[in-house]
Amino acid sequence: MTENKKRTISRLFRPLASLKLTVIALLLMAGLVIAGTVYQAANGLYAAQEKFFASWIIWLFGILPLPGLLLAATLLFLNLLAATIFRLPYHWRQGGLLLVHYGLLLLMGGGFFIALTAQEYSLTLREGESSRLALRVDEQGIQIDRRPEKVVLPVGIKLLDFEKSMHPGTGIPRSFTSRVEITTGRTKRMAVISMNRPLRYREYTFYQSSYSEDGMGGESSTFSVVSNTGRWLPYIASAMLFLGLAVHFLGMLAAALKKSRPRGSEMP
Amino acid sequence: MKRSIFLALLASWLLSSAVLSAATHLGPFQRLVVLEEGRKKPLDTFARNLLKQFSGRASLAGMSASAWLARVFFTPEKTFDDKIFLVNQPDVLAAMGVEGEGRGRFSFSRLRPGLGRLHELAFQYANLQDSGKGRFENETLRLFYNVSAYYNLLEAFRSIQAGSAAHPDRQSASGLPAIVPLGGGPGEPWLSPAQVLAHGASLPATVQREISLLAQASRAYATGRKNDFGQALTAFNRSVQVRLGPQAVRSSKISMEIYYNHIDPFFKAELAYGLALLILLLSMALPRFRLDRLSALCLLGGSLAHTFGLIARMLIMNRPPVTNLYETFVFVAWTGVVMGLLMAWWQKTELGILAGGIAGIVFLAIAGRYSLDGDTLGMLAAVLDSNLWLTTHVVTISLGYAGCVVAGIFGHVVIIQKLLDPRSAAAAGTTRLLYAALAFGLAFTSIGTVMGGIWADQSWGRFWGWDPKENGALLIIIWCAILFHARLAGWIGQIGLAAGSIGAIIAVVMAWFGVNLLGVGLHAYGFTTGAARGLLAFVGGELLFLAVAVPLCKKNAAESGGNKAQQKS
Repeated sequence: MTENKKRTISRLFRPLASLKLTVIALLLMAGLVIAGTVYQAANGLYAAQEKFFASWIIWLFGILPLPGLLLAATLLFLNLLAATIFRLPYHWRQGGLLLVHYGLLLLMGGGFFIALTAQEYSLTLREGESSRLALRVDEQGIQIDRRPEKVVLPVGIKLLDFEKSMHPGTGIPRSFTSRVEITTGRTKRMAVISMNRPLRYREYTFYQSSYSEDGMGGESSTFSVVSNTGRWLPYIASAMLFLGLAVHFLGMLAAALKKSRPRGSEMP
Repeated sequence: MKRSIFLALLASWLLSSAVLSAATHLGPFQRLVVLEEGRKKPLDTFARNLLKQFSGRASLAGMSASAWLARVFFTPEKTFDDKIFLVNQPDVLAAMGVEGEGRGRFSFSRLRPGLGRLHELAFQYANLQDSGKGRFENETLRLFYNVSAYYNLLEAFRSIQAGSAAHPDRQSASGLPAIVPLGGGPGEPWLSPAQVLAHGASLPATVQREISLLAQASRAYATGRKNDFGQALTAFNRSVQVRLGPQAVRSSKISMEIYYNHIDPFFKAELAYGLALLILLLSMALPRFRLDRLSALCLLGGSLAHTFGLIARMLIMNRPPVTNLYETFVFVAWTGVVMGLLMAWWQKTELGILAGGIAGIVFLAIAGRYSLDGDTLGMLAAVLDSNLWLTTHVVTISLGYAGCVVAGIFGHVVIIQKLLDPRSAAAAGTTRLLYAALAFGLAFTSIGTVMGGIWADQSWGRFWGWDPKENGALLIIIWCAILFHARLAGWIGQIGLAAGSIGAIIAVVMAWFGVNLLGVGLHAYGFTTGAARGLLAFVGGELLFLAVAVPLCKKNAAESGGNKAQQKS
């Protein structure tokens, strides 16, 4: 690449790295999060996602176009990407902050990736029943307007027993537990799925989602089944974020302590 | 030397318990184990929660809640004149046809002539939708439930005392303390004494012997034989303990909880913080006397009691410090105080004491109001129980909240300093503290939110779900990020950052309990309606403060001819 070309690219993209753009994108996001949350209280999560959180453009009163959260987040993502290239101070002393910004980049990028690739299904079984067929759930919950799509899972699952227990003398549930048998190819094994303790199998994860009783002693258990190949992305991003913040603040603290205590001073 | 003596005195006051020594025969009574809302707790806690629910206070004219409850149980007629029913709306009394003015506490005998009318009113209101109930209707219902609960309590030991079978109406009376476990096993029901009597002859011999011990105790109390009363209850407690085994009810935890109740650590901490602020004000008026150190000591003393309370609760319940809304108030207050103390220590500034004292007193006061709703040591629903990510993310987020709140308090200080003197050098120092607190807040809110995402991913399979609580946390993060980046970009200066940090407090309270108020009936009315009004008043007040103070600051700055570039640096 020639010097000239480089300069052109730089001239094109440098404004994208502007701090002012960061503030604008963040302000947009703040406003949209507030509006979406208030809207959600009145109209439910599905409507709020459709209108605010998962939208590119919001048509106010049907005529006035406003940016949706997806647009604002994309803007912030591009801004952050450009900033990492053109603006962030690459110096070891700023290592913590750099790590934080890279972590954020990965967190947002991972979020986009997961939104595009992850699938969620719902599976309800009565005790003794087994199935491979799960209902497809889209991002906003099971679709009501058309028949939910059925999907064949690569794992067979049979509900052996469902158990719930309450704190003594109350209606406060203590735990929900499903004992299941999973079949893959020719092998079988028993497994337990309970609240906060999902079952993982390859890229699939089975969560205890709800239950029902038919009043005649029969119980059924509902699992949500998520297939998510990018599942580990937010974890790595979180680790970077955490590490970056820790490095940055420990550094700040050390500097502050060095400055503020020139000689042995005592507690007031 | 003087300092350590003062600290020792303060500590002994904070950790002393005036009530403990007062009535030794009540000891075994307080130690009766009650199963309520799924938790085994000392009767002392039951009594305190009940008296708080009735009267808004944990003691009655110097008498401990347990002493009061013993009188209700064993000499019911003598309690008719106790002023225990708090009425917040005088209109309720008028509607009952009872004379009385203003908000106040009234005795059973005073309310008695109007109980028929109260019952009729409550009967009408009970079926109303929540939205159809105003303050009057809710207060009427509250009073009715309290009087009914009291009425049931009067009968709790009557049949046992008389040695007769239970009154048929009272057999199923709810709200009576379940102190007698029927069997030993975890699934076996616990019953109140009246329910046991109604159960009839099919009782095991040990249970029958325990019932007769309760009868002995009851008669002993009524005839003033305090020693016999204590002995009979001690025997009862021992018998129950033997039957249940040491694992079911830990005697040391019961002791710990009673001790915690009597010390009332958070109330004492609140008083100490108030004292610290008062002395700080004095020290500003009389700088010659070096009172700021005394003020710091008061804050430190209060924080000791506060810490003790937090640790005691963790030990009693075997769980991390923050598991419900009440505990977030207590923990954020604590974090604020500790941050203030550290700043006072490292930076040698009384502003740390100011911020810590304000954060401590305000959030403990809110916690105190909230505790009137019932037992603050409740059991947790399945989804919330025992998960590393869940518990750590709540604690971390609470740390973040505290950071933002402390930053916001400094924001007020900066604006006031700028109002008094537009070229104030002190304001620059305060801004540095603000900056540190805000950075702390941003860091911990971010980490906590991400950890919450990890929890959600582990438990539900999604990292983020646009839940209002998540949105609230996200809003705090975005807002703090805006402040830092806008300052870097040169869009805001000291005043802008100060005003923005006040905005951060607003974001925090919105995320913290504003979000809960958005939803429907998460908690009993007593807190929610009052809190919604208080929240609106707070946000309105802050916005008004900003609307008046910020333009004034800017005007002052412009008039004093301050160099703009310098202002922003």
